Amino acid sequence: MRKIPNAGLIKRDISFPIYFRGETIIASPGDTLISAILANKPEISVPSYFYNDGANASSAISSAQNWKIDELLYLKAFLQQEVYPGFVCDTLAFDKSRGFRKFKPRNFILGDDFRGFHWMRHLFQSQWFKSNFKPLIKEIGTEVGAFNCSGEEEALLFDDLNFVSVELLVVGAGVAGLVAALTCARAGMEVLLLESDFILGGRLNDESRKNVWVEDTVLELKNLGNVKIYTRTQLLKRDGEGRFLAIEKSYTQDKQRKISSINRFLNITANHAFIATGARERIPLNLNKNLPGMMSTGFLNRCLNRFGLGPNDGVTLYTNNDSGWSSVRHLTNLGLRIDAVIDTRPDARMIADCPVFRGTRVIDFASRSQRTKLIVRDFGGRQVKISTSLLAVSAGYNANFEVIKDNVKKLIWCPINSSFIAQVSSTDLTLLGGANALFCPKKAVENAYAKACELVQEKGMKIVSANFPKLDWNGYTCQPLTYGDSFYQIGSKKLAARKRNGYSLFQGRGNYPNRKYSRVDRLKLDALKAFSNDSREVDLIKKITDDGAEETAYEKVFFKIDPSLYILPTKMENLSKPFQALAGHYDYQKLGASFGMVGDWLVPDYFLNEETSSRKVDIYNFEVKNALKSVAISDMSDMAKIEVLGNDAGVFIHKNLSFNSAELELNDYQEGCLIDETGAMIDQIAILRIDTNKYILTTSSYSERRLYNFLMDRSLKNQPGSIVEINLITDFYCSYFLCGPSANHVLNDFLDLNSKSLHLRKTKIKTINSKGIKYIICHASGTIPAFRIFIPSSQFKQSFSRIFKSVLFFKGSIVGRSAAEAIELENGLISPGVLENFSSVGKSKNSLVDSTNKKASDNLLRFECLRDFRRGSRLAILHPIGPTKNIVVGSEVQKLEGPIRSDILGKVLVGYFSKVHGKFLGYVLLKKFQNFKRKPVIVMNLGKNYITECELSSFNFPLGHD
Amino acid sequence: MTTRDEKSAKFKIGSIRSGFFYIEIKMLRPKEIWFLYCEKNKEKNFGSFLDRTFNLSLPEECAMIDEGDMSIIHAPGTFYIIKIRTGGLSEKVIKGLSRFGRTHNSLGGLINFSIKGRGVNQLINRLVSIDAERMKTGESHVIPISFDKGYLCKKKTGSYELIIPSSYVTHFMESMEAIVCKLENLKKSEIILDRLFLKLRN
Repeated sequence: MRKIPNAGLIKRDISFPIYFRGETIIASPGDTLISAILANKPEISVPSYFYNDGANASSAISSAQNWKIDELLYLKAFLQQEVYPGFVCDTLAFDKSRGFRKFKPRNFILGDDFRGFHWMRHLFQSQWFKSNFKPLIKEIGTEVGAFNCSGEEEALLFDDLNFVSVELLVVGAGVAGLVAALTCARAGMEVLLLESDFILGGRLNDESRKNVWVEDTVLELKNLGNVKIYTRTQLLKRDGEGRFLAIEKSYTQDKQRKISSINRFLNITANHAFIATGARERIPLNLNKNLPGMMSTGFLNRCLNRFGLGPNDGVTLYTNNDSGWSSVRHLTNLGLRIDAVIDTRPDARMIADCPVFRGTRVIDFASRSQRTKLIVRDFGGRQVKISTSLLAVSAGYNANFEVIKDNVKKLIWCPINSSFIAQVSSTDLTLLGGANALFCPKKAVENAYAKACELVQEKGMKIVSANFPKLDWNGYTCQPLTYGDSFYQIGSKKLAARKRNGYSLFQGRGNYPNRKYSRVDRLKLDALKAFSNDSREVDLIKKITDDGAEETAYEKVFFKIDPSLYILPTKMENLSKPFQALAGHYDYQKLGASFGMVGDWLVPDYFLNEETSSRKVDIYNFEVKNALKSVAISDMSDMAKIEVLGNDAGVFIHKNLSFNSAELELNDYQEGCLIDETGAMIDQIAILRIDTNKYILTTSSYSERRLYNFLMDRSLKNQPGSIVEINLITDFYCSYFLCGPSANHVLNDFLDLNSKSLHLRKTKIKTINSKGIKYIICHASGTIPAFRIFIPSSQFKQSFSRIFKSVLFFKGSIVGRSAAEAIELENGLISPGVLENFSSVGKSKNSLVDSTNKKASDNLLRFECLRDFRRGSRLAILHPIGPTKNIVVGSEVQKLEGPIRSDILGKVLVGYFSKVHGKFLGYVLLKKFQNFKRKPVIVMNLGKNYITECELSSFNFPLGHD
Repeated sequence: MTTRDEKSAKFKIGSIRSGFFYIEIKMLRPKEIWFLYCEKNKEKNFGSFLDRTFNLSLPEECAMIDEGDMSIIHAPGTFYIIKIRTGGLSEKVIKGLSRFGRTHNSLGGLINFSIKGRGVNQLINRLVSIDAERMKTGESHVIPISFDKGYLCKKKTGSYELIIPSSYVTHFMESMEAIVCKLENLKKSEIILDRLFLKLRN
């Protein structure tokens, strides 16, 4: 690019040095980084054109080695950064591993270094802030690449936070935004105008004629007392509560006069908002190449008319719309050479003083050097090669309403603009101008004025007419661009890859104009039909569908919609067919799968057929269902393990634990509970007979000492002659609890066995040697596969990685170490049907233990089947409801009836913070079999001077019903 | 007129002075703070009880009534915080209160602050992420703090009251100082680039 004398808005009379990659560049006030680079280095004559370009920013690619900016996309945001004295941009210093590659430019003005992006630390640490802004933080963090790989949110910090409340918020100070703001401000409304750029006027600044209107309007707005103007402010989104969240960038200067940037997080409340965020220029996908010599006409206009930079040589314009022709006129007025104009519309009537190819397309490049050779082909198949130094592409616009994407109710296809128009769900939002798919400035102004007047009248204020800019073009038509022919030239593998990426479904017919509608075309037609309300429109679409509509920006719009809006249809058939035509629609399937609903799709409701009965997704139920479907592992190594050895071990356990059922057979496993002399349940216990004379008892660490002491005491009182040895082996064995429908597969995976060949029946134990590690595996009772795995501690390291790798391979979850979480895990996996089975076990003759048998009343501890609930449950769950949440283990639980506190109901078995529920929970062992439903109780916290108010509910209901 | 008892119940624990900001933080020492989880169907009765016993009306949700020695905060839901500055509730009143729901005296674990002064709104904004300027007099908010929660009330323009768990006192005090310091620094050093360029041009 070269400087064009007397062109552009930048006055290059004063200049200052900036530093880019160790080199000094001379810049002027009003320059962005890219304009400064282009102005200084004429050899960088060919800024490349990037696919998915946010706001006509450009990346510069040059053959000059030192100036080659690699494909790091995040640079685009830097290129739009305004420069100031002492500006330093050393792109090499950025650490790629921190995820900067993920950065997607969104007109986002970033700091000159990422470290300037600070949240206030103390605020950030508060739970409220996390819960309110976590989704946003994640979104922004990923977007700007401020997240490091581990996703530590602390890396993302803002400098400051501010609240603003206004009557009217106008987002975007382009022509539509300015007209609306001016109309409302003149009527006396309190207006806040946000603009992401550092100058106001938007695309009017890129026009060839100097627009005095912008200067006058800005001056008037600044002088009105009821208008606040925030430049350099990027609106991020409108959240669910109607607040607008934005980042304002400002600058500070220290004592050494060094300028640095600060990012202020704005929380804006507005009664009404005009969204005038404009439009985004799109590209035909077959020219999705990052080659030197390509540029969007929008950026070319900006270079010419705002920065005063022009191409070194001739330009070729490739367009499908009227806007492209306005660039032709600009270039001609500036005296620049135009090599050719290529218009895809056969009936385009515009004339230019150069070769014009109508009804043709650029299908490929013959050379990749600086001097580009384009291959142009018409529908008849005739081909021409054109030599040019720069290809400026104008492929129409997409309405840019990304900031309010959460509020989009429906998209309507507009065939004339060949773009979607968004219907907004809330009444306090109005889309204006380009954001409302009015790409012609004159119509955008008329629309903005009309909407502003409506609002003023609604408020009962008086309209004072606003002045409008003089705009020359009044119409805008656009032909949809297809992928074109070049896609058919690439190999089938590449095509398949593109299909997977969701690009292929909007593909046109390419080389075969006479072929009947392809499957893809039919789908596309359905899509367009669905987005259109008018039957005449559908007919129009039918005609147009020959070329199809290329749609790129929307896939990005959709996938960021708040998950709470999603609907869960059971099958793909329930989705409207057009949905299938949406590029990237498979991502919704992935989303469904990520919630554990493999084969189901999670989509916004406007994609559903009207007659389809659907339900809103409850993410909480998802979690439970997810748990029911997948596998989970809990490390229970700290669970107590007591070994009982000796010839009489079986009899000893049977007698002393008052174990009423028949003696355990070899390799048998029995789950149950420990009950004390009063009949109250103390803890869970499992007994394993792993050898003829060897038993292992497991219980929670809480009851370890009590059970061990009890057994030792009994062994000393044992009859002479019987030999029993009792060892505490908690530290000798690691144990895991593997549970879930996929548990068999996980076992199979890490043991290198076929689970069928394991032949492990329920309540049975097997010792397996696999790869030098000895595993004792117990198949727990219950309908859902659950296993307890014991591994000698010496082999813990080898086994740990293998087991957890397998669990993660099956997309399983790992639950915390504590036994309490294991209870929860088990609880989450018990379905109501299973519970019924358990209750029937107690009633049947085959009952393992008769819980009513009180014969063993002289025993201190008794073993009882855990799930033998006849007259209710002895296990109940505590939900803290008061300000105090902590529940101390071993505390007494009392009834709360009025001021008199009496009746001890039981003792707290475990109190912990549940990750599933996100709150504190406790399990109580009740004295009696009882049924409770949200009974208010208090926990007299042991050793503490405070009490905890809770609600007590019986254990025998599955999670998720409370 | 403030009683002697009330005077002793208030003491200044610090003031933050930094340029524009002058913020006074006082610790209030109420005699009793009662929590009442009022039962839904008994809210009306509770209103008439308040009227009868203390001559106070029932505050609306998220509002506070402050009269005499007593202030009542109606937190979201049917949860009330009754703060007694002097004396204390008689056993009869406590018994009366317990008829409407569960009561509990939580003075031990809570600290009551008053914050006022120049720039207090900006401080509150940044401290608890609540738009203080939009708060009406008597409005109260729940501030979730980690797993616990605190309460913020606007007493009058430029004067706020915070009730927080005592374990967070140091954290809040340090945060307030840090915020004021930071805001002051920002104010001093912030520049507008356009003006800088204008200077350069002249």
